[in-house]
This record gives sequence, structure tokens and C-alpha cells, in this order.
Amino acid sequence: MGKGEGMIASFADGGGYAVNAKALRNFARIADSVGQSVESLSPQIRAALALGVAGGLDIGVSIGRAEHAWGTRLTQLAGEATGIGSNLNANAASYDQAESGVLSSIDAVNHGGRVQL
Amino acid sequence: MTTQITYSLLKSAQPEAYDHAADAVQKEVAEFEQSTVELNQQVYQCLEESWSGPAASAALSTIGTTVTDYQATLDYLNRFVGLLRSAYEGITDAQAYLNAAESIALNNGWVLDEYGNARPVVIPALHNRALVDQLWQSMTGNPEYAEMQDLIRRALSTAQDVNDQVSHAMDDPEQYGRGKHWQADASVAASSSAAMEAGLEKSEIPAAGTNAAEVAAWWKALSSASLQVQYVRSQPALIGALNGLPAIVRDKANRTVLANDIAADKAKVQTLTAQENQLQAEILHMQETGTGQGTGRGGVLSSNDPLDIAGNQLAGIQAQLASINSQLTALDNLHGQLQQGGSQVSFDGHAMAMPPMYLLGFDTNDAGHAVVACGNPDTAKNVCVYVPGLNTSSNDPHFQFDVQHTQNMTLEADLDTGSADTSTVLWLGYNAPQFDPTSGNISPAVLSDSDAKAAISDLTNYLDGVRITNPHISNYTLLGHSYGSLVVGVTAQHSHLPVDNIVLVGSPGVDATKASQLGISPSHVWTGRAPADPVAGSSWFSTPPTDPSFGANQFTVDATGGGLPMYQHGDYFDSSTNINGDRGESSLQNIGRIISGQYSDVRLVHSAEATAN
Repeated sequence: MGKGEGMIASFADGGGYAVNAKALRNFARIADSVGQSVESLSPQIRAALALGVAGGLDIGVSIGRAEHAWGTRLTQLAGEATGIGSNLNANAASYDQAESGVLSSIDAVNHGGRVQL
Repeated sequence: MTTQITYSLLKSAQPEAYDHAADAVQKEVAEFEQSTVELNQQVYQCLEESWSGPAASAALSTIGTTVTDYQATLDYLNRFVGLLRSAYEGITDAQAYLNAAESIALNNGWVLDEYGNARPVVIPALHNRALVDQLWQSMTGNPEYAEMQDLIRRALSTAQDVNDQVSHAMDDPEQYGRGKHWQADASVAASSSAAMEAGLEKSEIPAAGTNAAEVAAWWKALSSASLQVQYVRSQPALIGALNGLPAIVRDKANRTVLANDIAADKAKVQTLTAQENQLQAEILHMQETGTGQGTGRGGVLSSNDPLDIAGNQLAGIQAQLASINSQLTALDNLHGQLQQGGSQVSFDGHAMAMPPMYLLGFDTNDAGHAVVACGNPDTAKNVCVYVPGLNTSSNDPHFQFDVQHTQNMTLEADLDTGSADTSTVLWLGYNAPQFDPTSGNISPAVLSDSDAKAAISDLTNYLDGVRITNPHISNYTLLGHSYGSLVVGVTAQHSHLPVDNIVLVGSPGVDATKASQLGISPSHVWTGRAPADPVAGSSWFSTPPTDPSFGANQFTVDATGGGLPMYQHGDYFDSSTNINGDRGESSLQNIGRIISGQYSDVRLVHSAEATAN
């Protein structure tokens, strides 16, 4: 999907916002897809790093530690992307409930800003 | 705290596993990069351009932070792949040093135990204490023993550095998002990653021709052995050409260059042979089908006949093939001679071990350049630098005889001292004039001193570099043969050379009328001339050095040239067992005595002192 393709239709919601619920759900789907891809990389990168453990020395031990750490890190990052998807879907739901100007509900959804993982 | 790398630990390491892991991780990183791009461009940037307001601000802040996390992780993952590659290369190089040490041990009949300690193989009973002591003394007194130990030290030091640095970097918690806030540190992380890569793989290498002392200081200042290994691996041609670097470093680099050139030549031969076969088949087809008649004027380009055109193309390809095959033979010969170190040879009736061989400079530019040592110039007590003369080309198969002459001088001097303490260096670091001897015409280049003068700076720098890498030389000799003696002569007049002796053989003159013009005492200027050598009698470049008026020592040369006067010109370095059966031994023996510092044994026609009176 190309840049800006998510803007299916925009409408004035009373606050002058140029994005609608459908567009937000589309972005949410992309973010969720990224999360799933990165989640699937976690076991793959662990398997790739496991090849280096056989090299021995302290380097091999560090690779063994990295195998676990990188796996965990990618799972965390996958969760961040998935969380963005949830966030955008929640925004879209708010738009559904009040097609214009229900800023308080949007603020509530986004309370805390960054998704906590 | 990392593990102390031991000999057996390094031996058992499997660096190729790091490389395999790097390949596999690289694929996953490529997929992660795709996800990062998607999240940034298709979500964050699109929303940033089209969504505003309080809800958008909050959401975009979250998404932007996540994108930054993804980008930083991508940088760290790429750096991790780089660390795996560095581990592979560094440990592989360390193991290569160990292999070289083991070769020396094997060639000398020594055994290395699991800790890397050497001992002589004791075949007689161990209770023969005197014999055991003798074997130990013989081993520890052998210059190759020190070289072997140095290689083992380098191997362990390199492996330790690589192991410590790489494992420390791999354990960095920040790459896993711990310890700091990434959005604030992303640029710092990226720059530190770039700095580390630069430190391991890139930095400024001194330019060719840089003063040897500066090069030595630069090398010494490098932070680790692993960094030095990286330089040798990544830029062998540049490193191999630097005066002031240790011989074993230059040798390793230049052998890589030589191997690459041999591989390139073989590939060219394969391609040209395929083209030759194809053209021959086409010509045969044309002849059989009458497509082309041919003019019978082979090589005449004006013909439009397809058969003639194909014939000319074939001739061109065959000429190229002949040239490349000739060079390939020369390079293969050189490669073979470099493997002779440690082999048993019969020299002048004596069974001797060939000293280790070093390739201290090499390229195939012009007629080729090579600096080849027999014996380690960094550890030898007596060092001789030999400058060959006209028609010397390391791209020509005859170069093997120049290397052989170099070996002869080392072996002869070692015979004089009774120990392997000599290094003779064949220095073809200049463009030696080339001419076709069958033409009977000597080109103007041979009669000009321009090539000699062009060599002054490089030869001076090389000679200085040997003194820097080996400050303990007892007797340092510079020898020039034929046009090489002119190179030596003009260099000695221009520079203050750090040598003890100058030897000029088969010399057409050195642009000087007196030995005293060469910058050292005339009593340490030695000359030799075969009786019928036409070059030595030419006076092309001023007074023949053997002329009593020149004021140098002249030693005896009993060469016969196998009957032909011109052949005497090449007899100065032949042992009594040379292929022509010539008796060049008197010259070689005298040269050996000069190199080994046994001046009173040199057989003289006249001494410098006698001519001065």
C-alpha cells in the first residue's frame, strides 16, 4: 500500500480532522500485520544465533545470551506494533460512537500516550 | 571477566560457526528492516500528514516512539551481524598465525604441546642428559624458534582481543532496549555503532612511500592486534607495500595479493582459452564450408575476408594467452619458492635447511615488482639487500633465478658463520630497464640512469625500514648487480645510507669516479668483475668500480660463463653446483664472507688501501 492510501474518505468532524474511522482501521491493520511479522521473527533469529554458539570461546557464550535477549526484544517490539493497532482501532471506535467532536473519549483511549508493554 | 585464551582453546574454536550465524541473522534482519519501513512510512508518516488534534497528537507520539525503537533495533541488529563477522575474521586470522607457528615447528622437528610450548623431539633415551640439553639449546638458539614463539604470541593476543571486544559488545544491554530511553539515545547509539565499525575495519593507512619510521609508529599505535589483522585482511596490497612494518605482516599481506593475482590469471587463461577454442572451431567451419577464402596474409588487418578477420582475432588471443601464461608461470614459481622455507637442500655439498622465505612486496604493474627475503630480516644478525639489474621482471619465469641467487647468498653466508643468522632480500622495488636480448639492440632506457635515479627514494626508505624493524643488525650490506649497481651507486651518493658495506658486481659504472663518493668508507666498498663480462667492462656510467683508480676493494671472480662471455654476467651468485656447471663459487664465497662480516677471508685482486697508496 502506498503512502496516503489509507485516506479513504475524510470528513469534517467538527474539529476539522481529516481522517475517518475506516482509515484508522486500515492503519491499525497494517500495524497489527507488522507486529505479527516481527513476532514470527523472534524464533527465527534465535535459531540463527544458535548456529554461532558452536564457535566456542566467550563469544559463543555471549551469542547464547544474545539468542535469548534478541528473541525477547523482538517479541516486545512486536507487542508495541500490535498495541498501536489496538490504539488505532480504539480511536476508530470512538469515531464510530461520536462521529464528530467527542474529543474526551478519544483522549481517554489515548490516556498515557505511549502504549505500555 | 573473559576467559584467558589458551593455545588449545584457540585450536578448538570454530570461527566458521560465527560466519554461518551472521548469514542466517542477516536474513532475519532484512525482514525486520521491511517491517520497520512499513511501520514508519505506511502508518506513522501517513497519519502524521493527515491526522491532527489532541487524539492524533497522543497516538502519533506513541507510534513515533515505537518507530524510533524499531530503527534503533535495526541499527543494533546490523551491528550484531558485524560483530559476528569480526569474530569470524579475527579468530580465523589468529588460527592462521597458529598454523604458521606449527609449520615452523614441524619443519624443525619440534613438538608443540597443548599449552603452545615447544620441545625438541627426543628420539634417544631421555636419560641422555647431554644430548637432551644439546637439542634444547639447538632449538632455542634457532632464529625460527623466536619467530615461532612470536607467531604464537600474536595468535593468542589477537584471539584474546577479538574475544574480549566482541563478547563485551554483544553483551551490551542497551541494544535490547534496557538501561536508557532510546528515543533520546538513538542518535548516540547509531554514532557509537558507526564508530565501532570504523575502528574495526576502516582507518587511514599511510600512503605508499611514507617514511618507514612513521609507518612503524602508526602500526604500533593501533589499539589491538585484531585491528592490525583487519588491516592485513582488508587492504593486503596497501599494507604489504609499507616499509617499516614487520616482515611477517608484510609477508602475510603480499602472499594474499600473490594468491589473488594467480587466481585472476587463471581465470583469464580460462576465458581466453574458451575464446580460442571457439574461434578455432569457427575458422574450421569457414574452411570446410568455404565461407571465407583467406588471403594467406596472416595478421593483415586490411582484409575484409571473414576467415582473415577470424585468423587475426585468433592470433591476438593467442598472444594474450602466451603473455598471461608466462606471467602465471612466473607467479607459480614464486609461490613455490616461498614454500621452500624449512626444506632440506643440498648446497655446495652441504645438507642445509632453507631459511624461511618472505614476500615483502609484490605487484604485477609494469614488468612487476617483488621484494623477496630468504631469512627473516627482522631477526637476522646479518642482512643483505640485493638490487638486481636490467631485464629483471617478476612477471617473467626467469625471476626464479634471481630468487635462487638470493637463497644462495643467504646459504653461503650461513655456511660461513655456521648458523642461520642471515637474511638476503631481493629488492625489485623499481622499474628495471627491459630490452630484448635477442634483438642485439640495447634500448636507450638501459643506457640512461633515469630508472636508477627514480629508485633513490624507494630504496632509501626500504633500507631505513629494515633498520627500524631490526635495530640489532650486526652487519648490513647493500649489493647491486649490473644496472642494479647503478641504482645502488646513485642512491648512496644521494642519501646517507644506514649500511656497513656496498658491493658492486658486474657493474657498468655507478655515476661516480671514486668509492669515497658513496657515503661510506672506501674500505667497505667491494667490487667484483668476471673476466669476460662485457657489461662490467662497458664504462657506460663512468669509471668501472673495479678500476684501481676507483679506490674500492676488488675481490676475485672465477666465473667462466660456460664459454659465453655474456653468461659470465650472470655468474656472480652461482654456487659450484649451479645448473650450468660454471665455477662462480669464488664470487659467491667472497660475497658470503662480506655479508657475514668475515672480511679478512675475502680473496682480493686489490684492496682499497692498496689503490689509495
